[in-house]
Amino acid sequence: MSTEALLDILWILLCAGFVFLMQGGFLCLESGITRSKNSINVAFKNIVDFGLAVFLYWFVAYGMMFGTSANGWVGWGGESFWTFQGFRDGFFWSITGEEAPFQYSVFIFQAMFCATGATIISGATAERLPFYVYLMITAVFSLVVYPFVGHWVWATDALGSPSGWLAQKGFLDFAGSSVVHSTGGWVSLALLMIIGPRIGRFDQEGKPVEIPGSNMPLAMLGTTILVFGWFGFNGGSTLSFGSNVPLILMNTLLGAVGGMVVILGFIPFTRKLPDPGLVMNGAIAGLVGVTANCNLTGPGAAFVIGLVAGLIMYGTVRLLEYLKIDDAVGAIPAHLAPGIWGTLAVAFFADPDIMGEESLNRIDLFETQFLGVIMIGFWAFAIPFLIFFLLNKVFPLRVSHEDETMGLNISEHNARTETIFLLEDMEMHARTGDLSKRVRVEPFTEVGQIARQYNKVIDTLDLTMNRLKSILHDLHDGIITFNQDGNLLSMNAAAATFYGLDPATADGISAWDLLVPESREDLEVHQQADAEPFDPFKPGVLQELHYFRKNSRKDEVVEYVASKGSFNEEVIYTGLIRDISESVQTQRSKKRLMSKLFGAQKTQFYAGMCKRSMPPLRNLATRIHTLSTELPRVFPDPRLKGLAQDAQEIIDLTHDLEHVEQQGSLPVKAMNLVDFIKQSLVKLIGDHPSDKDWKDVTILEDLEPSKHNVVFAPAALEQALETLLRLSARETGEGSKVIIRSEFIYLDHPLSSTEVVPAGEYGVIHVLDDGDGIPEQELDSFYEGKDRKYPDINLAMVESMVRHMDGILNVDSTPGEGTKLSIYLPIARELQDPGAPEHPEGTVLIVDDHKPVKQLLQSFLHKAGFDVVLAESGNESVSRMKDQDIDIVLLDLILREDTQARDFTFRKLHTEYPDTSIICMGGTVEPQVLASVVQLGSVGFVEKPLDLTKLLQLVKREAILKKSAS
Amino acid sequence: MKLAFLIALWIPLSCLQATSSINSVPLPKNPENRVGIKESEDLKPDELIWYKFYRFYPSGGQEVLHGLWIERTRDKDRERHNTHFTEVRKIYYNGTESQHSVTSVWEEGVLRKRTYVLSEKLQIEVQFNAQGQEVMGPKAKARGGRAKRERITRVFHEVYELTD
Repeated sequence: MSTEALLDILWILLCAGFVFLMQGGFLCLESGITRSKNSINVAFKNIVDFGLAVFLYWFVAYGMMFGTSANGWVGWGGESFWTFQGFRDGFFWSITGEEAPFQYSVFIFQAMFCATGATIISGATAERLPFYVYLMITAVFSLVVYPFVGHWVWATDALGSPSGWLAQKGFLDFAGSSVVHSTGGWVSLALLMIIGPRIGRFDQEGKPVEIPGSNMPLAMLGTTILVFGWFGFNGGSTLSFGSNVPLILMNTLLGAVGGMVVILGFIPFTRKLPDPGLVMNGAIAGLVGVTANCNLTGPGAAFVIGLVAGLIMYGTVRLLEYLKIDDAVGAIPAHLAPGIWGTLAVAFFADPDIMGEESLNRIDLFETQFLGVIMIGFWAFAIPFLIFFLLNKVFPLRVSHEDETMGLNISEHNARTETIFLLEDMEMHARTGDLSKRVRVEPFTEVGQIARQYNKVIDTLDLTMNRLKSILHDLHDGIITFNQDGNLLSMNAAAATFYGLDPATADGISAWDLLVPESREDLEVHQQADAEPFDPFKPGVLQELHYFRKNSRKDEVVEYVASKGSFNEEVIYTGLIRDISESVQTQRSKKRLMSKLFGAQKTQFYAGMCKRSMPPLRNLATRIHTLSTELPRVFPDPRLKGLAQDAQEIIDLTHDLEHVEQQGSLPVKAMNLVDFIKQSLVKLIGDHPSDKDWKDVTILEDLEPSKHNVVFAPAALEQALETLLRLSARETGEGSKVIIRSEFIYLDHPLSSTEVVPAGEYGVIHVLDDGDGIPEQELDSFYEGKDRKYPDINLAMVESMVRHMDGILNVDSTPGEGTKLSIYLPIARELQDPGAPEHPEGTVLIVDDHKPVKQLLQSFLHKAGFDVVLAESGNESVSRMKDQDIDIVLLDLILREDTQARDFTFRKLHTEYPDTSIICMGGTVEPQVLASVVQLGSVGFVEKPLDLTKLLQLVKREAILKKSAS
Repeated sequence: MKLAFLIALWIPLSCLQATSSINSVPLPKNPENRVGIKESEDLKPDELIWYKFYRFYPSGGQEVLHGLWIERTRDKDRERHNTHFTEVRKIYYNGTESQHSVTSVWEEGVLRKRTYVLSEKLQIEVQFNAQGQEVMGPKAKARGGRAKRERITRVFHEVYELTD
């Protein structure tokens, strides 16, 4: 073999190595310019497509490309293809002959080209194709596209004359602007049109969103390797080491420079920061542009071709964005478009000295080049499009949305890195909301630093969350969150306690079922008649929910207000639930108290009216009574007797009313309560058994006999009793029982928060029933006398009448258990001393700056037989002591005076009046204060709120001691 | 199944042989070396065939042609016999003429056309312009074609002792 031949072989093999290195360049470029979650997948495809493409090229496609031509379309038949000669000489055994070294060398070189074409597709379609689909694409490219196009352009017969139909027409593509680069670009375009853009590449308005590469320095290294490899790509395409090689290499170099320079020149005009991706693709576009013609042009022409290729690349990038075609690495702008340009540029820039001036007809050449571009475009675009379009109908060519979001490194290769670990741990935090765990920290890595810092943030967040949870947990108000479907997301302890649920298992319960339960055994909701239907989704509106807790038979009322927010595009509602049962109860009591006051005012008004109307009425009644008493002597008519009784009642009534008007109270007298009740029942029920109110009701007596007389106004009490009986009978309904019970008790505690009762003995009438109980709101209407069903019943009036007898009316109604209406009347011995006691037990000075307490004590002690003197301050108490003979001092320790002033008062009283007993009162008093007052001489201490019994015992003890001493 | 397997193997078996390589064409070969080879060179500018050269060896009183055979024929202008002529080179093997030949045409002392004949149907024709540069139209620029052609013509040049 000649030296020239050996040099040729050496050059081809060297260039094959250069082109192989381009595979590494593409790997770096594509994996660097795509996101890190797909980098392994992209790099792996670059390795794998090389292996598969070379295998298929060796196995089938090389023969199709360079075999004896069948009419210029594909290598086929003839003496070498489809014969056993290949089996004998080419497969298991080496081929022989002078040409054999060339054949091996050329195959290696051409196989690298095939792999390069295939790998272009991997970049364009990166980040969305399943691995096996990409293998199919490589197979289709290597078997269906590349060998055909390559045969058209590059196949020669045994003597070196073109045998492909395009080459026979004079089509020129020296190193593959069309055969390799455009072909890869066309297939990429077909696929991209089928599989569509990556998730997030275009926003909702269709504007492109930049997806940053994971490692731009790596991508730049890849570009550098590509430029280096291109020297082999173009230089080796001579398939011999001839004198034209240096020119080809120089043109290659200048083409790359031209493409890069034009993008750099662009930057000042775009007023944007330099885009490394564009600059890199500019260089590649320049290289692709000169690939078809670098053996036919001069250096200047190569630079211009590269420059124009760069511009075309830039325009194609914008065009693809406009068409919403997502080419992940810009393969179409860098390979397809410049490839077309470079192929056409042969006709414009071919050097006549190289081509031969005689044979260069640029118009004919352009027509041929143009025809080649069209035919190659058709073959490399239409056929793959058809194949993949049909395949896509059978099974999807694209990965799932979830896999694409997760990244193909994991979904396709289960490949994990410390970044993936970090993302997984962070995803776990986001998904579960459990911040108790920390992310894994890989020491001595950049990601490890991020993980450590993230853990610090989580530490702080966890602490803050725990504090917040603690606050929410201890909050008395209930808080729930739910989504727009009404599914409960969370609830705090107060809400869980109120609704009797476990917060951990409350997920997924409907907010409707929680707030407005329909089938709960322990809780039922009452819709208020006047209220709008409850809507848990109505933000900012205060709504009330009325519940009845069946187990404890209690009415409960909550205020509910919702707020609407959003988190991660999901609408979240927060409901604040405040238990206002006690507040409502207090409001009702206040309202009732107001009704009572109003009733008292009405009574006063009626009394005023009576004052004017009573004298003529009484005169009239007196005359009728006189007449009806005298007349029977003349006209013995039994009806006159009844008339006299009626007149006498009117006279009595007028007396009562006058008494109310003058004294502020009804004229009372001491009577036996049991006897009175019996008489009244006979009068009310016995004489009127068919009365509609009690004809269907059983009225039972449960009367405790007593020798004590009770003080009351009979007519008023009878009317009050009738009202209570009618109310009870009506509420219980047909067939039920009403019990009238009497008892005598010593009362030493308030009946309710609003009923402060002087301690003492009382005779009590209870009217009890076994009905359903009267709801609080209905009870209110009875107090106001506005009940629609029973307008004749006015509890406020009853209350007023009882009060005028120094008594108390108490209503205790429990839903489901019945109602107890009670009248407390003082025992008769109090009657003997309505004003000052004749023989006072002693005189008590009350020193307190709280008026209600003073009044309570005054009333209480007065009724217990003590004279009472009041003082508001220490100084006033001293002056009172001077004026009157005080036996006992009740001194409040929490006077609005400073400690020194209080102690001074105490000392002064104790020093100047040593015989006076001082009893201290106070709320939360510090032990040292208590110790000091005992030391100063206090005889006792009564804690507030006052235990009146204890107080009375103390006061009486001191009074007895004083009397004994005197 | 066997057929499928056979076909699956069949396809790649011929891959490397599937190329249209120059192995498949008959290339000229140098004649074997013999003892007593002599050369005959005859220059007669006045005759139409103005130059003859051949190698032979004597055998039985006969000259047996063996090796290179050259014949140059001028056109009608005798004065320009060495600037306007056609040269034919052949190879003989023990008196038998090879199927190969090389025909070169000179005009004004410049080689303008050379035809390498491998067989009746396989011929390579190379044209040169007046400056002696190879005229390469687009078809002649087929990728790798020139290299392949040169590998063939290089053999011709060696066997037929072509120096230009």
